[in-house]
Amino acid sequence: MNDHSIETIGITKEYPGKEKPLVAVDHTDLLIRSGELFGLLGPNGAGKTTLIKMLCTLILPTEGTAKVGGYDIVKEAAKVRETIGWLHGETGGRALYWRLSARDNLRFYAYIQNVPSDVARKRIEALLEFFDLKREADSLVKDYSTGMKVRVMLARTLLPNPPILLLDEPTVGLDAQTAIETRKLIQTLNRELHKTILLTSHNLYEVEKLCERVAIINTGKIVALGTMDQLAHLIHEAKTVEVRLEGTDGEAATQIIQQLDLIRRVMMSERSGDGWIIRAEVSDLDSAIPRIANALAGNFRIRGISEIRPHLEEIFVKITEGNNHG
Amino acid sequence: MDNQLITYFQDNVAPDKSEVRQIWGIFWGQLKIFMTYRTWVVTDTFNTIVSIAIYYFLSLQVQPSQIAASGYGTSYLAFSLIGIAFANYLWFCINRISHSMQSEIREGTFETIASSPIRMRSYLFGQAARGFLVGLYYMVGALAVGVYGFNAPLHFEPAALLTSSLVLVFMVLSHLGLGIFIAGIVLVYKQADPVTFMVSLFMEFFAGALFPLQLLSNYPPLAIASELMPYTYALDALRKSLIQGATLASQDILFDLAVLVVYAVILLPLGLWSFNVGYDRIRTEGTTSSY
Repeated sequence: MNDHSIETIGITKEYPGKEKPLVAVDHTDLLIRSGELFGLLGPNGAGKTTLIKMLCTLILPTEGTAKVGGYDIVKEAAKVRETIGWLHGETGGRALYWRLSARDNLRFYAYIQNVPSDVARKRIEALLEFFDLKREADSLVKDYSTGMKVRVMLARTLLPNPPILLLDEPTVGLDAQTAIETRKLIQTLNRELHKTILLTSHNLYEVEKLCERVAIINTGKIVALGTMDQLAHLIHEAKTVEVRLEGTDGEAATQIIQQLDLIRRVMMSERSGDGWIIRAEVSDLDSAIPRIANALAGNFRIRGISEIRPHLEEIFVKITEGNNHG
Repeated sequence: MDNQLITYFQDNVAPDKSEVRQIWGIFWGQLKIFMTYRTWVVTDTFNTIVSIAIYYFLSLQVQPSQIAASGYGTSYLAFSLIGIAFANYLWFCINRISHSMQSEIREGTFETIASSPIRMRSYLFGQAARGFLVGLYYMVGALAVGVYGFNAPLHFEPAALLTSSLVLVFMVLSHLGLGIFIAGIVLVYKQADPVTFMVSLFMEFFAGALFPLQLLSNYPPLAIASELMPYTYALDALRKSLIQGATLASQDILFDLAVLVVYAVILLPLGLWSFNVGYDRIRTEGTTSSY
């Protein structure tokens, strides 16, 4: 496998429309490094699922190319399918055989995913144990809860031990405890077994916590791509600094901070418990923190000064809104 | 993640790509699913017995001389029993592939299959194998009810059974391409019931499931259509072996088998090719999950 497990070059998918073609994915370039845990975000209908289905060889691109595990998704589709594990969590367990038990579903998928029988037996028992399905392993899936079905789907995706995992909403429908366990599992699969993981989720906290890099797709185009820091920089021209003080004399401190030349504006200044919090937008973060500390030193007791980083949710909303209106 | 689980995923296992194993996997899974529909199995068994009873009472109305003229003995019950039992069997086998395809798409399992390493032809053969085995249950049941319940005079000697079994295998192989073709129609149009109904009607009529083909000799276009049906040759061989006791030593049986082989060699690749055309079309349209 080369340095990039997933590579798309100008990949495009158009569906026929009534008046003009509907462009679901529009000349998208994406490079995902081998062993990377990469997040793909986008509002509903942005093109995430079409892009993932193209990578799974289920949809043929109209234009452009893509390689998964070094194999072309059109010319070497069979090889691509040997390399990937795809989980479509949003189906809520629809993609399982409901009239088979969890164990039989896994046995069935072991056959079609070329997992040798002796290996499959051991892995199936270990996966049933891990996903807490052992007690109901021989009951028909139709009687399972949504969360249990998603756990069976996760187990099925992991069964053949593919090097590349395409996890489309892996924690949807899971209870909090299983969702936490699943996130840990995703992290472990990435860190210890070096799986390349493309993760899509509407749970932005999940993506922020797990992914090294994130791409935001909107109306078929990648509108932002980078680490959390890089994405944060895209929506904030100036950085935000938070100053936490002891005591209640925050207004005086606010006036001193406002007078500093690298302060663009004070965004917030308010009492917080037995202390005071001031937030200000600064033009240069590196010099702002020591300058603020110097200005307040002696007259105020400083609990802390730190940079405030926006959450992925804020970044996502700003970028997709800006893209829709722009 | 506990350490025990992770140990099972650290080994570098060579995949088992055996096509026979893939076919067995599909067959095994589908059969297990089928066996969960107990009411359906019981109802179908009941229907089979009732239909044989109807043919028995019909046979009481037909003169033995009319059947004798066709060269298949003198019992209309034996004549029609074979015609219908094997037509139903064949129909069950062909229909199963497209019906399974329809339910796989509806239930969302088709995309999982299609994105896994299994070869599409292994998937289709595995689906067909399930149909052939389950259909065998009904077909043998129908023959047993006809013979032991209504005294249909059939030959169950080893040589006749061996011959008819071989004919059965080639009958299935010669029609498998048609079943796969219809499955391809289901992929694209999501429905194939009108097509399958028409095919079953034509097959039963033109192969003479319920009447001697000599009756068509006055209508040349119909007689030609009859000769073009592979089921005509399968039915001829089955009737000769089970009614007259003919074996593989018979020239007529060997001729019928040869025709079935030719049909299998032509129709099977055509069926697979047309299925792949349909599969590529839904991948282009992005409708692998639409129903």
